[in-house]
Amino acid sequence: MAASSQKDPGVNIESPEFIARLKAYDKEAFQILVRAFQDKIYNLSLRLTRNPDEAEEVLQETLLSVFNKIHTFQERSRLSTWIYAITSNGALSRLRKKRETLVTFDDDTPLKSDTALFRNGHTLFTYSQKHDPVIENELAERLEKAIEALPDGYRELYIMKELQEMPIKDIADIVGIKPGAVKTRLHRARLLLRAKLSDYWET
Amino acid sequence: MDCYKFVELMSEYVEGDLSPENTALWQKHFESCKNCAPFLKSFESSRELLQYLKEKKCPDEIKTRMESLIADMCEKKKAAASKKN
Repeated sequence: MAASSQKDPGVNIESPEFIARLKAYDKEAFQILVRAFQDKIYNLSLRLTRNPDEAEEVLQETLLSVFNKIHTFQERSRLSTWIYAITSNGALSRLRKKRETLVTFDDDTPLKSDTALFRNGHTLFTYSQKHDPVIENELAERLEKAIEALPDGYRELYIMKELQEMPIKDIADIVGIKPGAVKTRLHRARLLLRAKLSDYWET
Repeated sequence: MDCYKFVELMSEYVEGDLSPENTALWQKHFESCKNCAPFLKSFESSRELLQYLKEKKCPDEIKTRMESLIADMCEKKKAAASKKN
């Protein structure tokens, strides 16, 4: 799920030349940018909001924001990282509005001695060695559901880090917690996911 | 190091963030505990499953709308700039 920022051959979207074209509001450059990122932005916003209408709104807001703020973009970071940060901010702010008592990203309670969480097991499938589309589709569906079922406050961080491959520091800035707290939550999300997929592991 | 501490440090281990002291303790526990090796394997395997996840594609009609929206914005910028000059 890594960001592919280069769809048009010969165009490097992260290059200073391309960014200069964007800053000059070059129509063709913006077309290339939109085509390269719209699936990625939509995918991220849909996973975060879990609502296709909101995902579309976040996509539109993100693209407009990129257009309106491109002159402020500092080339210290990657353009893709900047775009995903705008997307995540937009999606998370919608979630905050919707959930009156939202996701407190700072309630780091100690890991409970949850027997389900610590359930042990061996790997049941050797799926990585053999290409089997049926098993792969089933695994994808199961994983999709397991991620959706992660608790609020964990799910968002997991999506941003594991699926979108955003840097921990950026995630910390977006959700307003320390990088260490992001790592703690991410670890718990991974443990929860492992446990949710426990029927794939022999006990 | 007990099993809970071993599990707590698992993400740090797989990401190479574990301190040298903890790496030594972690390794020692890994070698001596018959339960933690399969736990680590299932933890890593659940991360490997990510490769099978499919991107949620943006519907074509939305794409068309977005592309023309941004094209219009560029045209407007261009028109505003040429008015200034």
